[in-house]
This record gives sequence, C-alpha cells and structure tokens, in this order.
Amino acid sequence: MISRSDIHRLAELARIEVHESEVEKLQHDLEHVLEYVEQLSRAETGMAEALTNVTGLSNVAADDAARAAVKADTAGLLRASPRHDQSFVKVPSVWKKK
Amino acid sequence: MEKEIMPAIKAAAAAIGNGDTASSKLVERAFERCRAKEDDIHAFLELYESSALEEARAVDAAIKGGDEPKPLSGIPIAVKDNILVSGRIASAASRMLESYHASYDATVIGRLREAGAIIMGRTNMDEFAMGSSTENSAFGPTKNPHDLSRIPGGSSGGSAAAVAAGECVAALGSDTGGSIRQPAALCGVVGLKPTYGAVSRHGLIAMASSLDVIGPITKTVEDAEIIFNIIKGIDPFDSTTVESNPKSEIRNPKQYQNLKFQNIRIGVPKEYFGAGLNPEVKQAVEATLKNLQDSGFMVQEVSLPHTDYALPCYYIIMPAEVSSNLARFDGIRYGLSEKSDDLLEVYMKSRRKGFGDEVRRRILLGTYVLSAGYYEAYYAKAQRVRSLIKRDFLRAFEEVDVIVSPTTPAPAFKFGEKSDDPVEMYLSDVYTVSANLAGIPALSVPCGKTGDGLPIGIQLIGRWFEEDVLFRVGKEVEH
Repeated sequence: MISRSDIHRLAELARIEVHESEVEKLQHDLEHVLEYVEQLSRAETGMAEALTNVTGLSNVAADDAARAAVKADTAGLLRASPRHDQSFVKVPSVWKKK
Repeated sequence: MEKEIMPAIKAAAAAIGNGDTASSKLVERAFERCRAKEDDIHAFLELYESSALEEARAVDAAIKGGDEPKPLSGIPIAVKDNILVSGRIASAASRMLESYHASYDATVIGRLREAGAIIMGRTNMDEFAMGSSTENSAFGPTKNPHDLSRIPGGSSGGSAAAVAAGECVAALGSDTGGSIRQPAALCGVVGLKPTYGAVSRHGLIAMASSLDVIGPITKTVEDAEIIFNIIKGIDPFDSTTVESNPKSEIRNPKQYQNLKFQNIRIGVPKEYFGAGLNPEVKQAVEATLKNLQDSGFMVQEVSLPHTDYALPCYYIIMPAEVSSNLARFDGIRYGLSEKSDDLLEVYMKSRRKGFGDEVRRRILLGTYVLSAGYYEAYYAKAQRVRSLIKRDFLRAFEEVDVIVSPTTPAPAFKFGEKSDDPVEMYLSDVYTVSANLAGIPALSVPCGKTGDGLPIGIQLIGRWFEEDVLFRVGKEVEH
C-alpha cells in the first residue's frame, strides 16, 4: 500500500512538487505498477549474482592526461544553463537569510 | 508503404557518387515529401531544410570536383530528438528541454557526418524515451503512416514513421526496452537494437544507462547494416563501449562471412508464443519461420524459462536508473527553470513544470524502489533476476545461433487505447525488454500485414556482437 504520506515523501526525495489534487492518482498508479512487479518475489534466485553490467568491463580508467570532456567550448556549455554570469552558473543561495 | 519514394542507401549513394543524380535532388525530394505528409503524420519536431540543402549542395560540388564518394554521401537521415546535434535543440520531446541547444555533436552524429550523411531534422518521441506510442511527447503524438487513427509505436515513433512515410532514407533511434524495434515493427520498417556497448552513447540524453543503446531504423536490413557499421566502435568519450565482449561466456564466435544457411540454427522460444499474442501476429511469424526452414535454416524449439520475469524486472531496474539519471534536470544546469530565491523551490517547481506525467511516475517509482527498506526487495532482487535472464540466453545460444519471436504482441493500437493504464502500455514491450536486460542485439524485420493492412514485425535475437548473423537471417526474411 502506498499512502498519501508516502507520495509526499517520494516527491520530496525526488525533488518534484506534487499537488494535493494529484496524490490519489499517483497512489493508484504506483500501487498498480508495484503490484505488477511484485511477481518477481516468486522468482527463485538462489545463489544468482546481481547483474549490474552486461559488458564485463570494470573500472575503465582514462589516460592520466588532460583532455576535453566534450568537444565543446565552455561558453557553449555555460549557455545551456538558465542563469549564468561570465564563466559561472548562478544558483540561489543555499542558506536562507534569517 | 510507398517504399519507392526514398531509395535504399546503396543505390542512392552509388547514383550520387557517379553523378547519375545529385544529393540536393534527393534531399529536396525528402523535404517535399515532408511538406506533403507532416500535417498528417507529425514525425518531425523540426526540419533543418536550409542547412541540409546547403550540405547537400556541398556534397554535390565535392563529388563533381573529383572527391571520392563516402558510404553515406548526400543521404538524408533523421535523428531522434534525444541525440545531440551541435547548435540544434535537443528536447527529448520534453518541456524541460524545449529550448535547450546542444553544444556538441553526439559521437554517432559525428560518425554519420564523416560518412557523408545529411542530418535533415529531429524526430518526435515519447518524452525522455519513456513510452510505447509517442503519446507521451510534450509536443503532440506522431501518427502511424499506415493508419492515422493508430499510434506508430515508441518511443522512437517519429523516426519509424518518418522512414515508413518516405520522408527520409533512414533514421536513428534509441532502444532501452524496445524503443527502436517496437515502432519499427508497428510502422513496417527495419529496426536494430545493437549489442550493449557496440555503439557510443556520448551525446545521447540518458534514460536508463545499463540498458540504453542507439541504433538505426531503415527500410531494408542492408541499410541497417550499413548504418550500424558506420556508427559502431569504441569511443573514448563513452567508457562503456567495447570492440568485442571480453568476458562473454559465449563459445568461440564463428566466422559468419561465408556461413551457409544450413549451418545457422534458429531457436523458437515457446514462452514467446503463449497467451496474449495476437493470432494474426502469431500466424505471420510462424509462416515466416516456415519459409526460413524451407530455405535451409535449421529450426528448433528452445526455452527461456525466466521470460515471464523480464518485464517486471525491467520495470524495477529502468525506473531506478531513470530516477538517478534525470536528477540532473534541476532547473540549474539545463532547460526549464522556475524562478525562486529558494534553491529547493527551484528544483521542486522546475521539475514539476518540466516533466510530464509518465516521466514523473517513473521517477517516483524509481525513488521508491531505491529507498531504504525497499532496495533489497525490489532493486537487488531485480538485479539477481537479470542475471537469470542472461543465463537463459547463454544456455539457449549453446544450442542455436539466432532466437526468433514476434517483435510485439499485437499490431499498432488506437490512440488513447492504453493511456489510462500504465501496465497495459508497458506490456507492448513484453517481447523486447529481455534483449536489453541481457545486452544482446536484436533486429525487427517486417514479416507481413494483418487483414486490416497493419504491419507485423518478426524479432531476431543474436549473441553478443553477432549482429552479422542477424543481418544474414534478416535479409532472408525480406525475400
């Protein structure tokens, strides 16, 4: 069962505002999907390992040398942010004024 | 449908290369077709007509000047709206990124350009690739060119519809749980989900990173092969790319170059032909299997016993990864941003306004399955089941070389038919998600039509990095 307070808690964790009028529908939808995936509990996994990666790769390290992370200039990347100033991304203050 | 409107790649590239036709003519024809069809179909979110024609004329001039033609010289290709094209909007069909301009080309775009391709526009999709019908696009759905009252499939519905309607020669899509193969099947075109790691995702807007792959949607199997061979390969910008699978438990891969049909063994998984499969789809797939057998392929039954768990497993792993990947859309770094002096409020309100219903639903679901107290029961359990699903394929591929199934349980459905029930919609991917969970390649090829004229697709699933075998069998299905 997904309660109203569960939805509010998830919204807070996921950083998505949920309006009071939407809570019931979300409760219903999430419960419905969770009921469906519930059947996994019947699967006998025994000693099966968790599969997180299908390539078999692990700890891929880049050469220890400076390189551009993308083929783009800083100005282009900066322009993508809604609020910026010269070479900085602008963010509202993290601490509230008293 | 109306396949003759756009030529196949090889013929078009040869004609452009030897001067029989001009790229600018082909590209103009594509845009003409778009003008005639787009009001009905809405496959594209944006057409790059002036830059495409300019590039086409440059190709024509270069060839006239004696330059060696390239494999895609002057060929118009459409791109799903979650793949970055430098200087262009990449919105992932979301309000969140409605005005976001890409600052670089995705690796696949760079490779297409190097091969001479003309990028002609960005195609519609379900928002952030979440959906099976394009009904979740923030900019209105795409319609199926075979029946405008029906969905084209999704999430790469725009790419599949554009190819089917003859608006481009080929298109790129992305596939996380079936998003290339399902729309390809429903629109009557070819779609390849490559092996995980075979094609770079640098410049793809991530949905679920352990599952996402970029691949081609084309009219013919040969076209899919040509594009796959151009976009595949290691990329230093994507550390999950691999040339071949180093730890694959598969037996020594054989040389398929000169392989005779008689040596390719086809497996038919009984679990894919049970309840829920539309009788016309079943009949078309079985008839195709019979033809393959008659051409000399060995056909035998195989079992993938954990098939029933694939979709529930996917609907835990995928939302978990979605909730993490989409955390970057916070109103600070990209796209839509609601103003407030309070940082938390910027996050909460921007994400509320920017994301549509299905995206929000999956983020909340992913947050739930990853939260303390539920992680073990859901996410950890799903990862263990995922290894069982992979093991099923390993065992089956000891006996056969290709596994054949329907691509979708039913032909294209009507708009609104499955919008109210998320699980009903999710079931559209019931035959396609397993290949993503296991990381193996899968190809959808048209194999007939229903009595109402709706296309049906057959899915060919192969071993890791054995796309070649799928192309081989796929070409035979086309005959």
